[in-house]
Amino acid sequence: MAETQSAYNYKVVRQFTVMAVIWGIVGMLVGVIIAAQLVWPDLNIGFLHFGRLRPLHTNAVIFAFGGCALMGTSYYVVQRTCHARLFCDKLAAFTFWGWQLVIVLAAITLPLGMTQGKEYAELEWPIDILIAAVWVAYAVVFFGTIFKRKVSHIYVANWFYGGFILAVALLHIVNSAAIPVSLTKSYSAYAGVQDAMIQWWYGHNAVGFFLTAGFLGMMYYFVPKQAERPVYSYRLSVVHFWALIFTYMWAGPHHLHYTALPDWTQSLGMIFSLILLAPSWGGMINGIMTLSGAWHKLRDDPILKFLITSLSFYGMSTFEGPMMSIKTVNALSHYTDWTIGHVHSGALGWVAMISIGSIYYLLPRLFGKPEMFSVKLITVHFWVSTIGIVLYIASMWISGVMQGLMWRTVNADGTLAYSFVESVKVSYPFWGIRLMGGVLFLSGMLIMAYNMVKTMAGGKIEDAPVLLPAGHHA
Amino acid sequence: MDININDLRSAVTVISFITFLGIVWWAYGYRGSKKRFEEAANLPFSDVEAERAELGLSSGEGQRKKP
Repeated sequence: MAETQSAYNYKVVRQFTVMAVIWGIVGMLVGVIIAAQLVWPDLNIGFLHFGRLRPLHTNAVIFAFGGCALMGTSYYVVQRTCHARLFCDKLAAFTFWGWQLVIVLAAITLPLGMTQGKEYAELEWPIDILIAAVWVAYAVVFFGTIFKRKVSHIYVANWFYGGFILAVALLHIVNSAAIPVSLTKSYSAYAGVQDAMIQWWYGHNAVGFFLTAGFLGMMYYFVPKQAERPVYSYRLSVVHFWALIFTYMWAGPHHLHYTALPDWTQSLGMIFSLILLAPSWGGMINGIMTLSGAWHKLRDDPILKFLITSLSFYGMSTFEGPMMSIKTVNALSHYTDWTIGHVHSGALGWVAMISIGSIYYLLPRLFGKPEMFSVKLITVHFWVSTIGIVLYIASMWISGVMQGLMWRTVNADGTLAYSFVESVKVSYPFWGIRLMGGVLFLSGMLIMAYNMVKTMAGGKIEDAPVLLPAGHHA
Repeated sequence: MDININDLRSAVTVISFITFLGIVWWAYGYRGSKKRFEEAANLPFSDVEAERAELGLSSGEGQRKKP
């Protein structure tokens, strides 16, 4: 025990990091398949049609790729900034294997049509219970490590990771409450508009805490480390954290504009979404300005390119989001491809790029190498994926605005000027461009996998020593 | 005077807002916090030995002692 106590637990970090890349490829491949199905409807074969595969895509990229990246990096960051080995190796191993089991069960049940029908919370109740168990174990390991830290201060990245872990536990348990009627079927515990409001309170905070707070934790560790300078303003990071915590929980109703939800609730959701611009941009500026005085590093360090570009996309989508939450803008954008474009500027541009940058930082360190097998291939990956994202979001903006305008155009006598299918017909070229963007992004991930395997080959798997407390000011 | 659930809701909103202002003051307002936050910002850079060991630059054997 004394021997293992003096080294960090990198095993579970390695497992999550490698699986993040693999699940990323799987999830994005399913995304490319459903994008192709929209262009060529004949590709909807049997039960593997768009309706079944779309939730598989969203679950795989968010919870399998994003989840593994978050859990792996959080285990690494919490150990390194607390100067303590992870609390309870066995429980940490349980979070890894438990989470992989959840992913495999999702990949089996979703194509078979077993679903609760709630977006991003489709999985049926037995899997929901397993998720809750894994998540509580994750919280115990993470906060247990913070509890046994050797330094007095809890670094800001851990605050973001901790906020993400607590909020997701709360959201998942409340929104997944259901009445089972069989092993594979259940009905929501809530009814009517309350059910819708709880679903989008969950849904938007899945964005706010799973896809934002967690990845901001990544940002506050890996951007300063890769730039080799402390974060631009630590004080701003403190205010950033609490501003995000106090406002995000209220933004959910903007998903339900012009529905049965009371008007005042819609307006409240819109106003809090607008307020959210402030903490979001505060965080983005804090991350980007960390490079202030060292901008030249951006020229030849592709890992920094990934990290800083991800922050640019974060700034872009957190400006677009509040704008789309304004009711009059939402009247045009809702239910169109614009929403899909917005989501992907956040998901590919922010979430995937910050994860990819952090994973490129981690991989050589986890396998005892000074750097990745090929730094040039990281640069290739960066440009391939950036072009892919631009193609994706630009095509969705155009088709989205076009659809919105066509659906609201009326003739002099008040009848609709276009039928729905006419808007589908003119969307085809843009769906083709979107498919190209998706293929490019997926290709980048395959380049990454090759680079990863080459980096892992022959690496010595040794865990770094825990810093001795005597050598530290705290 | 009757206090109903809506008064409670207003109170929680006001208390939350005041708490947030307090946090902003704590972060920016008083001088004592400056050095503390500078130290905190440098936390990720304090474990040089682990850094070298994981990049394969040294075996890290020297650090493998019981704390």
